[in-house]
Amino acid sequence: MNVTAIVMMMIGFLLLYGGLFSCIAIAVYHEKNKVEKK
Amino acid sequence: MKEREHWKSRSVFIMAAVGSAIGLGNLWRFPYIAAQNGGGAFLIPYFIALVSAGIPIMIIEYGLGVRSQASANIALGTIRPYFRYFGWMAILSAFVINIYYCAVMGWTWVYLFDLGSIGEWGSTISQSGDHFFKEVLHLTGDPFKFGGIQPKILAGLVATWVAIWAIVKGGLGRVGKVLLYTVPLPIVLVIILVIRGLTLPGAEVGLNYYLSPDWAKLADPRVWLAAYGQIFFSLSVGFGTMIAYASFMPKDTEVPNSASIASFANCAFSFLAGFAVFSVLGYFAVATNIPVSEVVKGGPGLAFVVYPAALATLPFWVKGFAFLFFITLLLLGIDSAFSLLETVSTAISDKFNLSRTRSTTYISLISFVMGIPFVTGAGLLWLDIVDHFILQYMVTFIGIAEAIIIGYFFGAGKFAKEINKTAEIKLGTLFGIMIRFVTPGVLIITFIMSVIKEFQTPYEGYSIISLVTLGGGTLALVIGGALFLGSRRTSNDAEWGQIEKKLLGEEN
Repeated sequence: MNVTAIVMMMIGFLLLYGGLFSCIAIAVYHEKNKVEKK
Repeated sequence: MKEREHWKSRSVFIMAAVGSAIGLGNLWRFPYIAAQNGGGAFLIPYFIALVSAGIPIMIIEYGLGVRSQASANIALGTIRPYFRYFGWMAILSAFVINIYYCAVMGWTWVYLFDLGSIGEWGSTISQSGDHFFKEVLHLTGDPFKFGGIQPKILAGLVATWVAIWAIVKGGLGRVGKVLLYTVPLPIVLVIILVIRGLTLPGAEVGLNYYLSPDWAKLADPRVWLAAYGQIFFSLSVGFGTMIAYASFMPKDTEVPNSASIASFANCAFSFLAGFAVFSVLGYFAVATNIPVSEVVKGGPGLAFVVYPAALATLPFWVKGFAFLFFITLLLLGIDSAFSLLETVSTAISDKFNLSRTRSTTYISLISFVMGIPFVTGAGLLWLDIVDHFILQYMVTFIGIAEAIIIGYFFGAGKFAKEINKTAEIKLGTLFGIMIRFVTPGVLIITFIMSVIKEFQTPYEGYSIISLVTLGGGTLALVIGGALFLGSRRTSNDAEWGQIEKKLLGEEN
């Protein structure tokens, strides 16, 4: 693969998978807080 | 009113939503659209479309479902009574889409059962195309020349309807258990296909085609429209499914982050699927000495012509990888198909106070019978026309309606305030801007451009009579059906009861 394609691949993974795992992390954090409050 | 079922947990709900959203289009449409619209540069408008329109409209659908604890007709009807017609239009769109979606599942079954003769499918695009169009579909070339029912595809259609009927009638518990397989398994299989693809000689040629950015394309508004269109259709919004699924969650369910997780998961999968597709296309282009641009196809052409031709040329384990590919297609389609059935079945069950088993059975039988034309020699042509009209016009229209209803009639601020009570990601002014201006603006432009294009050039060169009969007929069926169902009132009518209660303020 050429360099620009590799860079776009990394950007794609960062945006989409980074977004996904950030949202999951937020959910896990809030669930954990809910459990601790109980 | 009978007690509403609930998903076992928020995770099951999100998985169900992901399963519904992730379908054939993630594999056969996104990679193709991306490559044709700037390659790697397409990621920019795609991501912007995701956060400015996709996620907001997903939030709207989840919010409507959770708030109303009911299907789209009631969810919208409790805002203004006549909005229930839009809800029915969405639900009937799901009904229509499932009719032909299951026919595609039928094609997949045929390929799966025919793996023994993969050597005869052809190892060039031309041979593979002949196999698909002539030997499998027996394509007639004219939507009104049916050419007879294709028994193998009919058998596949029966198998698909029996499967999704059995799953949906069993209730959310059964649906949830099936989802544990139908959601993760295709992801695992696509990863295997990616690994296999990346190890093929010439894969990098395909991947360069997929990801090399053509920045000049970002100045073309059609690329942005393509991005918004891809996001909108990919997330399975606008046909009541997400409203239905969200309605099976308690009223205090977190909405924005749940919508974001499902949306990102859908798009992340599409991006990954692109590697499975383009690595193999690159290999095939190099192996057959054809430019990549000539082997790149989207839609059924990719899944049933080009990819099988490429698989047939693999150095080893041809049947194994072909099996993995078609099983992936089947699994991708099945949870989308039963989510569509669930959407319609729940709405009918609520409207006419029928048991889940009865409504699911009636809808499955009617849909199966209406699907028969799609398993004839004219099936692909019917599918092409009906799919174009239902998505480009009806589903887009519902998306516009939902954004305007929440943005202006219900109030974006009021909606955000309700949602924010339990939100992990709070909705602010930006949400209001997206719902009131960006989402409806882009969808309206898309709608208008589609209409203009429709009058300039008949879609795909089909005859006017076939476009009017099939396309116009589909829209008339959906609109007429919505008017009928929305205006029909029964004594057990959950729709009217809930709408009246909500508007009279008897319920929160």
